[in-house]
Amino acid sequence: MVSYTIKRFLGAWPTLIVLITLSFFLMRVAPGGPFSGEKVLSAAVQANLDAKYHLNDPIFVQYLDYLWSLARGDFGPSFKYPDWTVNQLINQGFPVSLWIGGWAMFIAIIIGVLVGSLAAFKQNTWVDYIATGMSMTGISIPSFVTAPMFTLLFAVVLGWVPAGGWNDGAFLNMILPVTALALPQIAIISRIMRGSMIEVLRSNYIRTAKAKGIPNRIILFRHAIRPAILPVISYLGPATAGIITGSVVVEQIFSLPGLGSYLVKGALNRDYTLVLGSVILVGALIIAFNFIVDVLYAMIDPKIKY
Amino acid sequence: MTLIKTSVCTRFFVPAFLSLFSLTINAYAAEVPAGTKLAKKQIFNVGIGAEAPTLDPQKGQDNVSARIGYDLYEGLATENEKGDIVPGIASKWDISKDGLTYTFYIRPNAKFSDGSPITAEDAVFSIRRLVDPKLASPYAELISMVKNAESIASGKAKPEELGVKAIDPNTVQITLTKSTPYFLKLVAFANLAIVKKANVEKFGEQFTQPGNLVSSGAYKLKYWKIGDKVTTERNPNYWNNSKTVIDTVNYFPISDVNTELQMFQTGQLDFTYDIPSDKFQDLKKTLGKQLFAKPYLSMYFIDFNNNIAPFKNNPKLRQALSMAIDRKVIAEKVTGRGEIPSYDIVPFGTSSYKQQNYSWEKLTPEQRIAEAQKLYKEAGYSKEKPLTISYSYNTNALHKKVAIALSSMWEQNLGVKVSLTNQEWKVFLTERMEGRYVTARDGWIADYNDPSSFLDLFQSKYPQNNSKYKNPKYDELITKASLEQNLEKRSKILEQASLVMMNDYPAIPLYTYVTTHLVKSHLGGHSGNNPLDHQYTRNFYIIDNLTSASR
Repeated sequence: MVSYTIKRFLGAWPTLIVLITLSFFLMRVAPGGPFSGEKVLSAAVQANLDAKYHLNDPIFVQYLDYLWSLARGDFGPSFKYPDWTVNQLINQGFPVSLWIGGWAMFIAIIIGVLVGSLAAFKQNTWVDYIATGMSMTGISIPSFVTAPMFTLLFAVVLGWVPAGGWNDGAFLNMILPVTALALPQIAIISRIMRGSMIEVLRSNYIRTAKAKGIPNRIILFRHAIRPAILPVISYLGPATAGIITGSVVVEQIFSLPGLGSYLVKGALNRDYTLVLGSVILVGALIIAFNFIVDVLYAMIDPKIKY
Repeated sequence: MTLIKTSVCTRFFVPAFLSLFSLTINAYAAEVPAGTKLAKKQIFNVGIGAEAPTLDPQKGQDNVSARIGYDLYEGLATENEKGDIVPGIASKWDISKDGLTYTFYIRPNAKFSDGSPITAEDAVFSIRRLVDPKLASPYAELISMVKNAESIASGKAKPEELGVKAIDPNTVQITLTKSTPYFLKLVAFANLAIVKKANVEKFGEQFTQPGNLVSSGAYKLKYWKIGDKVTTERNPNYWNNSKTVIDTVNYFPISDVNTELQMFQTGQLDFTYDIPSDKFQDLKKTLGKQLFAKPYLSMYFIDFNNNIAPFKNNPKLRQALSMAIDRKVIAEKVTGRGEIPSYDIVPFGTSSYKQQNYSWEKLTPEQRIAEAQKLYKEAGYSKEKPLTISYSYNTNALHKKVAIALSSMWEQNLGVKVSLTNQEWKVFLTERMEGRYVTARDGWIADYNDPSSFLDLFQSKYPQNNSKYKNPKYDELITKASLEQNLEKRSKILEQASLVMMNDYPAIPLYTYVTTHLVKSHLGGHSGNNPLDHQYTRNFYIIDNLTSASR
């Protein structure tokens, strides 16, 4: 188990290096630079800007410089937001994304597992049909559709929550973005959980437990949920990626100051360092989650030998 | 909606007065009418459209940074609500008879937000900073007429050699290399705002962070989180603080116009940056006077690539394409927010300028199209041998609508085959600047209220000359105007230059933009009459007896 964990940990690093390298060169290949705008700069001004940000160095030198900065934990200055370093921006934006994403994931797991289990327990009844129908709807309708619909209904028509903005993470401001992010994940998790739970409930040891007269509640929580949840756990890695990509859209719609909005703004503005910083962080997060999920999986499922 | 009218008096005598004599005009701030009951909480929530890239006035190059900058900082001169130049940190100024030397007298009571006096040394430092290559300001060229500015920006001279000096602690002198009638407008521009030398030297690039920033304007920085909001509060040390009413300003960077509208509807915003263009008519009906649509010193135009076939040396074809467009239909039916159909590249409302016209402007649509068809034929094209061109525009719903309208007008009226090319913003900018296009969308917003803001764009060596237009006669007239000290003569030369360019048809002016804002009825002091849409919160106040935003 320890050697497996170490191997998985070491195996994650090359992925990250490839990600950094690809992102660095792809950004430089994109047409237009960080300082191109409606107002065309004179040659002297452009030269001053290039010199200030070392954009006049050969590209490979810039790459090595960037790796060296990265090794020291320095993501460099932002090109678009010259008053800030990328480290400062990430320190501001990352907690926002983490907070929204964390809540969305937490809610998605709790509700998804409960709804999925319930649907499996009540298979082919109206409870199952409603749960299945709702999860299909949740999977089919993307966040960029649900988010404006929720805003229109709950903010504009009913006036229960604000239409947008962060307001220092106030509870009311969080409701709609977290809901919009969590809904597709609830749908997917409940689908996975339902299928997995049905399979477990049909297994011999559950049949034995039922024959012994053990109450359904005990069967569910003590005997069925642990094996049934394994596919859900293995989905958590891709789910994190889903939450992160979903938050890019949701943060834009609700005007939230998270990493997702930096990524979009950075890409559109050719803010090389900001995009790289955000991509590296998001990439590292996905790699880390996949690593954690693998380890968790190994710990929970005693049948798996490494 | 009314057009901004520039009377003869405004256009000629006022600038002449400003140029020749000392000024003692009183400053401007919130003028609360007698009997107005002010709200107890003077909190103003404003949408600013996007994140402010910087709060460093010398680095700013966008109107969002400037919006907050106008509250945080002040220059030697500033603007009133209508956009007229009025004294700022300097209470008055003298201009030498040759128009080359400006002497500014700083107010004895001018102080930074930390209570320290604003000195001539701070003003000199701020202006030098703008051209210092180490700062690499994108707007360094703004003051290229100041002595040695160009040499400093290109690294051939030191910032200390700039033609600006402190005569004494309260007097600043700026020396120009050529008389620039609009120079005072530049002095009031966001990039020439005064920063505190000691503060910048202490904190370097981080001097704009909350807690570090010492401001010279009516407000001081309290909070700034990228993507969240900027909050400023009244600067008690501002020289005109007694006439400032709003206590706190929250600037929200809402880039999605629909979110911004919803935040206005739910009371989270008092003032929006923009409105969804497709909802203009609905909002006009439902919100009435809360919807402000005012002409803006800006132009939406189409570039021909004059460097390549079929447009190179083919003015008849360019004229035919220009005449085949019904600007009225585009302004009324396609954009539909009160935009003004335009023929001259200089927009309506520009000071010291009389708009130029084409003789064919007044023809009926049928006559105009018949004339266009004749020219099209003379240029070598017909329905049997149609012109095939591409039209490039950047991704945007409005640009797409305009592109479709243009292509259908060209096709229907002349038989031109148009292919539309939609490009991402930065790709589009690069392609257009480097001349890799046939026809392309263009647009320009004035930095300062002067015809040169637009006419400079078509000089053959100007970096912004996207249409690659070259006419020595035009260049000569623009240069001649830049050396002319008599304002009336200068205007005539610029009008003459404009006519030369218009008759060459290097581009097609389509319409003068409007700015559209939603403004709560409880916001007093806002007229929307600043042609550059500059807003200064110091002019505003919140009225008590009207529905207030949640605050």
